[in-house]
Amino acid sequence: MSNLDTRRRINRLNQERIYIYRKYPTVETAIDKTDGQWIHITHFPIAHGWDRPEVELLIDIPAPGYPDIPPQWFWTDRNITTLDGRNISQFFDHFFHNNEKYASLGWGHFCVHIRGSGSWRPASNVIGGHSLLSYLNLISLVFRDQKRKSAA
Amino acid sequence: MTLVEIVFPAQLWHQLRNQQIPGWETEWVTRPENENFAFVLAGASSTADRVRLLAREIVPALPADLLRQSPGGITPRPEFVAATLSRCRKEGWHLIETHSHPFDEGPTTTFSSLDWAVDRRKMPPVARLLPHTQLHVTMVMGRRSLDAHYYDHATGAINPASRVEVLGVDGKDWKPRRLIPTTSPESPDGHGEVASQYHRQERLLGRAGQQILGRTTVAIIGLGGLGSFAAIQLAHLGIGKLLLIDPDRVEVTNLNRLQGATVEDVGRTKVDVFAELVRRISPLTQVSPVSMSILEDEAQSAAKGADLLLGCVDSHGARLVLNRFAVRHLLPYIDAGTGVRLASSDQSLAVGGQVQVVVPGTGCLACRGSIDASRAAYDLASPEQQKYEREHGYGIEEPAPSVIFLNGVVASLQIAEAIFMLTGVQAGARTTTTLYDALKRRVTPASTSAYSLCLTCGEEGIQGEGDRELDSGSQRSEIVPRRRATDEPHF
Repeated sequence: MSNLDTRRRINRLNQERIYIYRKYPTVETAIDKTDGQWIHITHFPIAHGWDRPEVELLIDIPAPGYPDIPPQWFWTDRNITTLDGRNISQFFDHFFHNNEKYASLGWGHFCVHIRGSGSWRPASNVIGGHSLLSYLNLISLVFRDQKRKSAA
Repeated sequence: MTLVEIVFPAQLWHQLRNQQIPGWETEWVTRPENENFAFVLAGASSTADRVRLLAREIVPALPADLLRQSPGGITPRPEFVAATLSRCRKEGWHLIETHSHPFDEGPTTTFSSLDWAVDRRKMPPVARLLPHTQLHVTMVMGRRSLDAHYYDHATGAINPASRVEVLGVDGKDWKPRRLIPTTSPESPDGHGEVASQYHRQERLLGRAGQQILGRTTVAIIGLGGLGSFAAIQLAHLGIGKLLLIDPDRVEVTNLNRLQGATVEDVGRTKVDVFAELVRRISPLTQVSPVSMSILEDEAQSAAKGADLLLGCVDSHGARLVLNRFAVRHLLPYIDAGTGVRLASSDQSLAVGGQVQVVVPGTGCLACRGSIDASRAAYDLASPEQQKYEREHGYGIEEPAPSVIFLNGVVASLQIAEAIFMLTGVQAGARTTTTLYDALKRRVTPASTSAYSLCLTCGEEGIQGEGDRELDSGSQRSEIVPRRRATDEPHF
């Protein structure tokens, strides 16, 4: 994939950070300025019902491919639990046994897959289509859904 | 000598041809007897023997940019020229310089002796201001014809450009590809006379249409159930050159749908099997087998040599890459796909397929929602990542059902679109998508339109960027005109 694509991806990530700050003003973000392969987000707020009000996220950015193809995987503290003691892996598809990349730091690797033709439609202006903000909203929804599962 | 072609998206071409450029509507500029002047910034798609200049943006000379304008000549201000050259250097664009000859209504518009004198004087110093990889072309447009030539950095010669290709639609007319010869063209390679084996189809396609086929290079990407039909049909039709691109070998399980393949071919590369078949059917057709995936750079380099891309792939990742490649290099792209959805408790049996034409102004597969992004992500991931995903239940779907009669119908629809596009045989109303429902025995045409925010084909997308890299000139300095305005050449 060309250098131009890498630069475009990095520029895109920088643009998207602005919209992430607007929706989630308390977060701090950093991106991979060399290859555009990840974005690190701290102080990401999650719904009530967990053992902490916010989490740290590291989202894998498809490279090459983003934003034409969506993120699928992210890292967060694998020890986070609900207030009634359930593990995060009950809510997200997950894996952390054979991937040592960040496992030694206590991170787990989780995924939210976006499936189906036309279900991921990014646009050239960030707010005109899907973006990292859409993906963060999905992550946020899954954290929120633990309430529903508790109620059930 | 390198063959140089100029490709315009239809919308840009119509703006330039009909002088419908913002700022040119004032009477002073568009008095019909006056010449007009514009630069066109272009990407390039280069192979060893051909450079296609891909028009990307028109930079019109507005009244403030001109020193003089009359029916007999036009002269841009040096500041305007310098600013445009600076953009080319900084952003990596090739430069096409156009001016009109509104007085010329003939079929053989060409450069005047004054134009030639100016170009001989002007082109060498302009070339020195541009990196040697960036071309400078001048083009003169009469009312019915045009001519173009470029400066060859290596030899210092001014050589003719071979043709202008207008690609896409702008409005309702369905003429997705038009070739406009230059008045002093290079001699194209290919079959001269129409061979007797094509006489029956020549009655439909016309002699000119058949000769166009003989000069055309088509890349078939994917030689499975669809691509095998496509290759054989194009050989029968007398196509000039086929690029066959597929990384796979024939397997026993392919034999139910690979047209022309036999049990003796099991284990051979598909591209070799079909290259051999094509040569037996049409000895005049040149065949280049490329046994690799279109995801690989080398395969993409080969595909740049085509005039038309036929997508016969069954992977969303390959479809995504091919779609971007076609838009980036301004190559017409016809994608075909088949599908069988087996009946289950909550859905009925569905058997069908579709053919989609991607040219400028019609949208692309990305903005039409034809690519499953999640499956594309899996397809494009590294083998390690794919293994990781499979271990977690992704990318392990059962192979889709595939039957030869379905492939045959859909591949024929795809080839029909290709022949209509290449030969100019009119196919009626604008149709970018043809849907085939095998159970209802129904073919349905549909039309799509461009999505301006599309990341691939939209206004800020990658259309026409070609081989351009952002680094190609970003650190280069501004060009400042040094001569006095009155010394500037006449155009």
